[in-house]
Amino acid sequence: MNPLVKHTIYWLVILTCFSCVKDKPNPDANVLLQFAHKGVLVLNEGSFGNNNSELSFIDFSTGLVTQSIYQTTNQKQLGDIANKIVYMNGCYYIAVNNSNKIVVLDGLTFKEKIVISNIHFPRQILQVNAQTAYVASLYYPNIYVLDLVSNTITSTITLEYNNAEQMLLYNGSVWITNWDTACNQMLKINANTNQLVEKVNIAGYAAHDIVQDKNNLLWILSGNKYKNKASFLTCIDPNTNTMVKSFAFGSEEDPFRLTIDAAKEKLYYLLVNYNGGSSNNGVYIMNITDTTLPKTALIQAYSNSYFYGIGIDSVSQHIFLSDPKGFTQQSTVYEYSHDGQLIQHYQCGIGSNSFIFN
Amino acid sequence: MVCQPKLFAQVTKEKKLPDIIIQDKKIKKKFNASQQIDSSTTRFYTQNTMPLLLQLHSNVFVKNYGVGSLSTISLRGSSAAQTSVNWQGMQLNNAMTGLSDISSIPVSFFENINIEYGNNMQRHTIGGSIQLSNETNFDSTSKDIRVGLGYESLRNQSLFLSSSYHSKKMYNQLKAFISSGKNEYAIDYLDKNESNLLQHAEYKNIGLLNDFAYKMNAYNLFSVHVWMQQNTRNIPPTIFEESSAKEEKTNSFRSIIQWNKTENKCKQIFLTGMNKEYYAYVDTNSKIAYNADVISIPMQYTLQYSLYKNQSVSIQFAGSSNLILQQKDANLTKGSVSLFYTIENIAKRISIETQVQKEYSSIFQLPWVMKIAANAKVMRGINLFASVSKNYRAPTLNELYFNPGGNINLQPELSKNLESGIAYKHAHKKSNLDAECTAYQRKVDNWISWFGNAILTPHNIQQVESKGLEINANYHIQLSALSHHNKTNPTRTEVEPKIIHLGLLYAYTLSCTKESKITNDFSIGKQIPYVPRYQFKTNIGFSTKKIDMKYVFAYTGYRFVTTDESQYLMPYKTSNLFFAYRHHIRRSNMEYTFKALNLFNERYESIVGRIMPKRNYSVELLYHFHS
Repeated sequence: MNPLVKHTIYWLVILTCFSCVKDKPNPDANVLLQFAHKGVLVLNEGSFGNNNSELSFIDFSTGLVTQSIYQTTNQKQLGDIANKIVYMNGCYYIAVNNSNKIVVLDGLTFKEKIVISNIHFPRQILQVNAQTAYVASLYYPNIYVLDLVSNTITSTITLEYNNAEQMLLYNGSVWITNWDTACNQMLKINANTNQLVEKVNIAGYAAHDIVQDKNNLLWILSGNKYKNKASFLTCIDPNTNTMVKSFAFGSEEDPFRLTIDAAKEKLYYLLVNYNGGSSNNGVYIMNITDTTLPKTALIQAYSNSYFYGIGIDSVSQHIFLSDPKGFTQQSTVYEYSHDGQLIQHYQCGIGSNSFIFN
Repeated sequence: MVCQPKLFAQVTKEKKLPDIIIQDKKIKKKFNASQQIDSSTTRFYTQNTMPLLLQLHSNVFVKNYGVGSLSTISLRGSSAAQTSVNWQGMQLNNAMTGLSDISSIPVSFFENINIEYGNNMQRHTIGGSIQLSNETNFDSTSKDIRVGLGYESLRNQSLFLSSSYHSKKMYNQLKAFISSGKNEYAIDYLDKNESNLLQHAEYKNIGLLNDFAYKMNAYNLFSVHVWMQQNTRNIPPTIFEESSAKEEKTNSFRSIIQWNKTENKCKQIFLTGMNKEYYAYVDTNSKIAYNADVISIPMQYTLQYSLYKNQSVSIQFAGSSNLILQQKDANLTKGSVSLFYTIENIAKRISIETQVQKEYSSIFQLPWVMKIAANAKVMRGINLFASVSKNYRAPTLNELYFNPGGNINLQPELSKNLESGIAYKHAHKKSNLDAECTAYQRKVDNWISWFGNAILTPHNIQQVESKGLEINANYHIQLSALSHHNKTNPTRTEVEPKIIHLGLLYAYTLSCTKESKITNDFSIGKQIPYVPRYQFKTNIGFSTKKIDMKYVFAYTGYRFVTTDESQYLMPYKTSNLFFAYRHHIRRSNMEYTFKALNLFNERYESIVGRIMPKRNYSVELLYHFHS
């Protein structure tokens, strides 16, 4: 073989071996969980089909974030699309939607206690009394009645429409939103008998969020922009089962994540612009006594982004917002003061969607 | 002078030898990295579709959603939509999704499988392309029939039929491929510490391909190519899903009409056709149903003129119209004009090719694109090649119009490409070495990424830079030929060569986000998802006239699932064994093939949640009659 060729091959091999980036990933070292500290537990739903839901903890004392709490503790993946986390009877119950299960974790150690399987696409969980919780299902007209002692499904409430979303317990009744474009009602179920007792009309269709204010009025967000159902904010009186007032959103507005502060006076919601534009994209706030919807955002979303989760610390009144960055990477969680000033930001898991303050 | 013996001049005894036709194609000068997968490899895959072939025998990365499931390709860190699959010059990428599902392409349908790594201006593929075609043969009248059967241990079976007839004027080849099965194999669910058979993975794949060509005279060739494909498959659950009720169906009808006219120094090619694809998806668990019909109609006219012996100039007019039938306003029409100039053998060593193109579309502005490439013979057997080019990839119909989430304001992805390489050929008496090493760099602006979870929307959000190194080497050694006596004529000795062949494929790909329009974007400097930094394949084989054996080892490195490298899939390696035996029966051949894949039972995920089969086998039988 020609000496020039030999040398060329030799140097190419050397170059290949030494100039390449090492293949093995080198992730950042995880921060030890100090759950006794003040902080916020973040539920990360993950990106659809990638089995990467997780839990993170933002430690207010150190400003550090503990990632992958579930996997570190249980040596396995949590599942696909963890949509809701609720603390009940000393445990965390996580509805893992696309894995068709509810995972029950010890409230202190995060060790998995039990997995409740064979639930169709669980999405929302509401504790109705010490022994019982309701589990709402996506794509199915079912509310599963979960026994919190045995952690088994004891019965199923069948609704008229699919996609029961957020639920709220008031005065012995469970108020259920139905995120179905054919449904323009709130459903009221007796929490003792599990029977439907009332249907209350709302403005618009496809209700999905519900909160209760200090006057015991219920506020409901409804609509589905992509199925041409305009969004509304409706206030109903659960004592008289009547609509009190409603507010109509513009056709380009897509509100969700209705939240209320600890004093139950201020309503917060997100307007999301999936194109990442500046209009109709951010956190909006209104007082329960306001007569119109706010025109400008308290906190504007960053360009080419939108906020996906919101939580309000009842102690500090700080607003926590998650930017999922397209669900292609870890979320950035921003901490703002109550008047919308950025305090700092953290990196959490993929698709951070909700917060439980410790 | 009486009784003089007759004097004769030398008497020539004329013996009429049979006509031998020596036919070869002019070898096109190499201006960028390419690879031809020849029949010595494809013969082992007559009962397979493309994914396995490309996974084991090329530097293409195959993103495989499971056996018999959707499979897309990526070259040099590109996205699937930046890479094209072309059939007889027509792009097969679905106009709606921009993807080509190679799991529906039978290997046995094509004699020529060529991979072009890197920028292809004519196809507007900035990653690379795969060219599929068949030869038309007019040398003499003959018939050819092939029948193949295959069975896999995954409980899949297949049937391949081929019939061709050609004369000096006409050529027709009809091929059919039917495969179906259960894709049944055991998966270890590590979380649950149990092993279960994969459920809901049945599939059926039916294809029919006909190539017809008619030589009107020495100057005019008319051809019609028709390809129909129907695929139905159940999509099995991932390891993190309890069950699946997802089903998918694709029907495609593809046709090409082509007219080639060659006269003196002038060559004209006119091509048109239609590519119609119907896609339906149903998930009865989540009550989702979706279907779409897409039609693409390409048209192309090329005029090539040889200026001098070593120079040629071409002009090409091309256009396409793409439409989603269910959305009347979802259409995209494009038209382009391209100029090519090639000069070869400057000082007997250097060849240069230049291209410039301008395309117009009904929706967005498209820039001028150009390419300059050169090939230089450095010394005997060694050629250097290099190219620099600008190109783009236009958004697909889905990216523009998908409801909900499509973005009509999308702009094309713009690429700048640089490539250089060295090709070495060395032929000795009993051995030859063919090796190629290429380095490349590509920068893509306005890279389109789909963002979201429930509502996905594409954005021109990033700048991505890809660079890397590719090596492709093949070495053949002929051992002492085996001599034996011919059974029908014992005095005749036949020589049967024994050949050992070695092959090596290596790809190092760095494809990282350089800039982003997202605040606090942690993907900057990180590898694009599902682009392995390292791929390595090697094979060693032994061939005689009757036997072919090959061992193939393939390694695929870490693949990141997220853009910030926070989640990744482990690397995997597979060992695979191929064995074929053939013998003659009069004018027929029988060939028996045995394949053992993933010999050492590696458990690996191709995509998150999709565990691939462990060790599995297949047996194949091929009957070939030729007159």
